[in-house]
Amino acid sequence: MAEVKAAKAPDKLAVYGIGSCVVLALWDPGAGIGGLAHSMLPTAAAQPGGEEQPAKFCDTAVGALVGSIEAQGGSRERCQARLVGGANMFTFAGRERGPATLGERNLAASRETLRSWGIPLTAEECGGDRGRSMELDPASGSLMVWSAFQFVRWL
Amino acid sequence: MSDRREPLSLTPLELDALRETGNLGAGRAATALSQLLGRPVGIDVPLASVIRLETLPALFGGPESVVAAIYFRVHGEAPGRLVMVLGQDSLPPMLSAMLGRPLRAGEPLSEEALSALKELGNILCSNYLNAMADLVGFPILPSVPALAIDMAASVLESVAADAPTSGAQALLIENRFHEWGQPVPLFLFFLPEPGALETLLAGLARATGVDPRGGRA
Repeated sequence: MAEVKAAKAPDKLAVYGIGSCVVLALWDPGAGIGGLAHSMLPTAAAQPGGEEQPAKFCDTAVGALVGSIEAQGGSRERCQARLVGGANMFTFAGRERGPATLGERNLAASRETLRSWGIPLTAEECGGDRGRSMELDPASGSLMVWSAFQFVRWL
Repeated sequence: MSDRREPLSLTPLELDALRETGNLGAGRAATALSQLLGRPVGIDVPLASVIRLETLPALFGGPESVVAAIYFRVHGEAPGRLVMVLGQDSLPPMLSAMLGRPLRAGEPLSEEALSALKELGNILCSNYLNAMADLVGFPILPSVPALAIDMAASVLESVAADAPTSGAQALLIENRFHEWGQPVPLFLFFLPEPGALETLLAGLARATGVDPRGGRA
């Protein structure tokens, strides 16, 4: 959590148990380099001292992740983005139509920042009320997302 | 003010005071549950400790282990977040106790079961907070409960992000229910807002007449 990490094929990158956080996956197909940023909150400016922990915030995480991908020899011009997470895990009774959830605000911050960087967002697996896990393979760009279950049943 | 606060560090006496408060709350919750279920339920509190939030999933077998979490926002002079977490092994015995019958093979998790879980959370947490409030002499009020059953890391990460102390530590109170042969563990986590824990400890010190920080001042 609150981390960015880039890796080169054949290494893979994974995050297990994403909730309201957003994981931004960037992939540079030309260099076979991928990276993940796992962020908890929408914007760094909303929190005093936020700019000191860029990975923690969806907006500043974009630049931090581009930095680590370029440090490994990737290029921001070739990068494609995908987003995973931003769920609303807890529903308080009678609050179905409330203000935007933390997950939604995280996603909005990620999308807007990607737009301003000019990085194309190619796919999303986001929202809803389920936790997710994911794995990125920088060699092929394959990104697998899964949930714990679709139901609970004791057999 | 930055969110990178001083780590919570409690003296053994302070942890004892919190565990004792836990015992008091557990005693009241046991009485309330026994009345509800029509048979005796015992709860003890073997452990109170302070742990880092990111270590929580390991308590339940890893980040993808499924847990049930009942979540309360806590208001008043000592605000924070209170979460009750049941691991996968604790869910079936606890559910059959609340529903008053054994779970049927292949039984899906019904609306009835979900609301029984929330009710269990209500009973336990409100008795804890009331016991604490009586001791410290100011009200501590829980919100309505919210429930999630999902991967441990997803659930706890969402709590951490919702708490103003994000990235910090939690007070852990372990409970054991005695009714079903094997004790059934259930964990309570309190994530205090900045200053809330100090307010609580000062209240406890006043109530007991003992300064738990005595000797360290």
